[in-house]
Amino acid sequence: MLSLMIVDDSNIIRRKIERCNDSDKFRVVASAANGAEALDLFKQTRPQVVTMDLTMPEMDGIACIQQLMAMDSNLRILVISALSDKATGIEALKKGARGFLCKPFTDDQLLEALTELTDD
Amino acid sequence: MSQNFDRQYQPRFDFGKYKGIIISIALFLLLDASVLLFNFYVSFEIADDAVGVNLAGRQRMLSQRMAKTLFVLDASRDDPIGFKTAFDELQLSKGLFDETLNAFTRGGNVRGAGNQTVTLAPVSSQAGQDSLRNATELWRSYKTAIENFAIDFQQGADYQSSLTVAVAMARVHNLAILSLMNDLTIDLEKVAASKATRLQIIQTVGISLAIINFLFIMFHFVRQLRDSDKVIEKARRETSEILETVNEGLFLIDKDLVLGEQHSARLIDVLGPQEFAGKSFHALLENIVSEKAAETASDFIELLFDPKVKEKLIGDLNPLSLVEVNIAQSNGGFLTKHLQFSFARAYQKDENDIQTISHVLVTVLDITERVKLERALNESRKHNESQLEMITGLLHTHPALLKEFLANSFDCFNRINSILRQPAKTAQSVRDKATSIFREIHNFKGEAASLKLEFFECAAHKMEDTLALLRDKRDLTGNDYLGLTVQLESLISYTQQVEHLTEKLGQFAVVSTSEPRHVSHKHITGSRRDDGWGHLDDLVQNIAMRNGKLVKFVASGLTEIDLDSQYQQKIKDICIQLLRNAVVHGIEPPRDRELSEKPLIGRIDLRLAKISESEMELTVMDDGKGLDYDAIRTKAIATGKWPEEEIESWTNKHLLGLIFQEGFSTANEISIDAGRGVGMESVMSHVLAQRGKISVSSRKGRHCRFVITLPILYANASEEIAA
Amino acid sequence: MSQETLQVFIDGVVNYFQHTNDKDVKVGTPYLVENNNPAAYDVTGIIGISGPYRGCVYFTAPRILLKHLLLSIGEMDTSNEHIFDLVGEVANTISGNARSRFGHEFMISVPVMIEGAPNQIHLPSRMRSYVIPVYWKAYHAAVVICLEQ
Repeated sequence: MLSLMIVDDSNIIRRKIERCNDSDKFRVVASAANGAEALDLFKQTRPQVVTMDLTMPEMDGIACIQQLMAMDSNLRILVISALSDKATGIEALKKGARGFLCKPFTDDQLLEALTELTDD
Repeated sequence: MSQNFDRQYQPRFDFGKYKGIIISIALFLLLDASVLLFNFYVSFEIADDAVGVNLAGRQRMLSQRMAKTLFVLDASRDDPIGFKTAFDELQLSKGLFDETLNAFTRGGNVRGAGNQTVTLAPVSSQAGQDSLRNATELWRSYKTAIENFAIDFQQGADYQSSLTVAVAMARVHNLAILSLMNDLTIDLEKVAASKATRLQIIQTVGISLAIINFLFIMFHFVRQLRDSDKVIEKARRETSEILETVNEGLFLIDKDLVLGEQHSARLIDVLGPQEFAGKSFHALLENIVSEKAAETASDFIELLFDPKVKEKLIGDLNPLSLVEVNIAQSNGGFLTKHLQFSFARAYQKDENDIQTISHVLVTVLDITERVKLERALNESRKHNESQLEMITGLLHTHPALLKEFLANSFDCFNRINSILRQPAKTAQSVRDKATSIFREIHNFKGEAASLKLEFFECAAHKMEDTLALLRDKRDLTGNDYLGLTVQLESLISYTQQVEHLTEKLGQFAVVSTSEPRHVSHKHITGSRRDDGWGHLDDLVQNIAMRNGKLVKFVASGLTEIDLDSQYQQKIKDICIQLLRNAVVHGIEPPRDRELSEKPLIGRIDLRLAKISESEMELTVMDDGKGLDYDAIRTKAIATGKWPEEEIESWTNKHLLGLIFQEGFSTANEISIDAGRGVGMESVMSHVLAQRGKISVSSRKGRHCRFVITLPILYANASEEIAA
Repeated sequence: MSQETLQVFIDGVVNYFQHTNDKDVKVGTPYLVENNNPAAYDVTGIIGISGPYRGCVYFTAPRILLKHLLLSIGEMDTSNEHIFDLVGEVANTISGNARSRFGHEFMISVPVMIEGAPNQIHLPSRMRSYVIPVYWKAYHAAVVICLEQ
């Protein structure tokens, strides 16, 4: 069972991810609405897997990924974002995220992506 | 696919494949080593045998020396010194001989030639043993006789008799012993010789085996090499075959983002002929996509080389999944293609059997046709949608009217374009174009409004806005007309689309609900049908509604004169302007009418009447507030064109003249329906062009009436009225 | 096609003439021509455009203007070869200006020089072109722009 933190400024997306991850494989331990909150919650809950939105108020996803990776280089981060700018997505992966899922996504796509992300 | 590639790129080390050759080489070495070892062993033995042969030879010599010494002793009984020397020599020889004989028989140590001790093994051959046994037999009595003599001599006793016995023994046995020792020597030599022969045989056999082994290795190895070459060659041929036939552009890029040595033939068709091998991926993209796209693509490929990143989870980020490239052609143009690049990791196993990402396999697909098809579908869908919009806009218009409107529109656009085309080098001539175009577009707008074709009306209105800006601009240049030309172009395009659509609709020949009331006319496009004028009522109601007014429109006599259609169009233009003015400037808002105790609904009369065979009279009358001379005066002052005092002194008639001047309008704000100050001027110019007359009568608060007298131009005289 | 895009090409030509001794160049009122009847003078320099818009832009001028222009930049040899070079140069100035204004968004080809009007390869017949007259001294030349989205 892997612990999961959700970082997304949209309530709807957060709830969607929470809903489909209350499975026997992942356990949602934290849910953050922006980068700063994510860092706080990370320190408290130390999740193994993170889903990360890129465009958020206060601290954006890229900065957040950079800081999270500094704390735990083994952290598995899945970027979940709408595809307006591929270059930003690529930058996020260069900073240490390991996968990218494009919004909008179905529950199956999300589960599949998380499984692939944590499979090794 | 990736598997094929890595095998071809570096064959993996396979122990099984080389087992045979390793065993062969080990056998070869073992064989060599054992021959060598045996060689050593036998050599030592031969060396030992040589010692034996030497010592056997020495026995021969010793037997002779003993005999000779005994004879010397026998002869020098009177020479004590010589006797002593000989005696010592005899002792030494006898000791050595005895010792060596024993050593030969039973094995043991013996003093060698250099007085060193050598160990002898007992002689093993039958002949040797026989010789030794016989010699020992003979030696026993011979030795005893010598020993007896030696004892006697050393004890100082009389040794004459014992010497004589010893000499006699020597005489008897010497030859036999010599012969036996000789046999021994020969026998030993024979043994040694046979050992050497054996050694030679073994060496020959060993070396032969080694050579055979070597040949086997050679043969085996060469065959294996040839086999593996064949396999590689076959794989290479298969790869080339694949690369020759696949429909996609295929190539590999390494970690430094440099293209590999091989690529599919198709790549040349897709990206144009060039040297691919060793080229950097960035350089490959450089001239066909934007710099930014090329950089993003390089970044993306770098991600693929990062083993932590999940290949399956970054497909969406591929910046080249659909890319439009422009490939320069020799004729100066560009060939635009739509390409789809896909990237896949290619793995290679290292010595520890761990897979590492060695290359990225790039697949390039030319999907231009597909994209074009999609676009065409999209376009036609969009086109259909906009056509639908158009249809709903056009449905309320009678097809014949619309057709006429379109024809007029194109004429109007052509006239505008001709005005633009006219070379104009002076500032004034450039400025005059704005005025001329304004007149054209204003009429067009009027006509569009009368048919409630809102799009055209709006477009014309926007062009009027542009023209108004041009008119007010200082230092007007030709370049300033660019925006207008662009507007004109898009209006033409739109009109063409509408025309196209109406043609298509025409094929259905839908009988419209506004079926002409009189069908007795030969001209299908002729506008002398009731509905040819009927749209004027729509126009009036339309303008009234926009301006918050209530109007009853009464028209008469419009169809009674069989006018030339082009001429009729001009009359219609005049009507439109006058009617528009009547609604906007004449008729009061219902509230004002209520206050002045007039019927809430205003009335506008339009009458066309033949006053002679060659003349007709067009009357437009409204029961509105009448001409507002004060407003005209105020506006005249506002223009600043004339001194204020002069204007104050002007009569109403003079003021009336102003409304027919260019750029004069009393409407407070510019709207679609009024305010440009061009309408009346355009009426005037039409009337003057036909050599007609205008008279205006007005009573404040009661009415305003325009009466225009014009020549009649009958339908069959159309040719004479060109332009 | 936007007015701004067209302006970039017009500016290119004006730029060129402003670098000559006689800077007095005037732009006439732009008008439209159907491509099945293209407008051209004696010599024409065409550049191909690709990107958000595609098509071509050409500068066309009568020989006499070009000869005069050559003389005004100090070139006494007014042979055909030089005249072509000159038209090429104007076309190059147009493309240079376009490149600096549009950046990498547009791809612009090297100029191709021909005598007379461009043919169907360059001008799709179902379209219209913008003609922008250019007056220099007593002569008329033109920039013609035919681009589709």
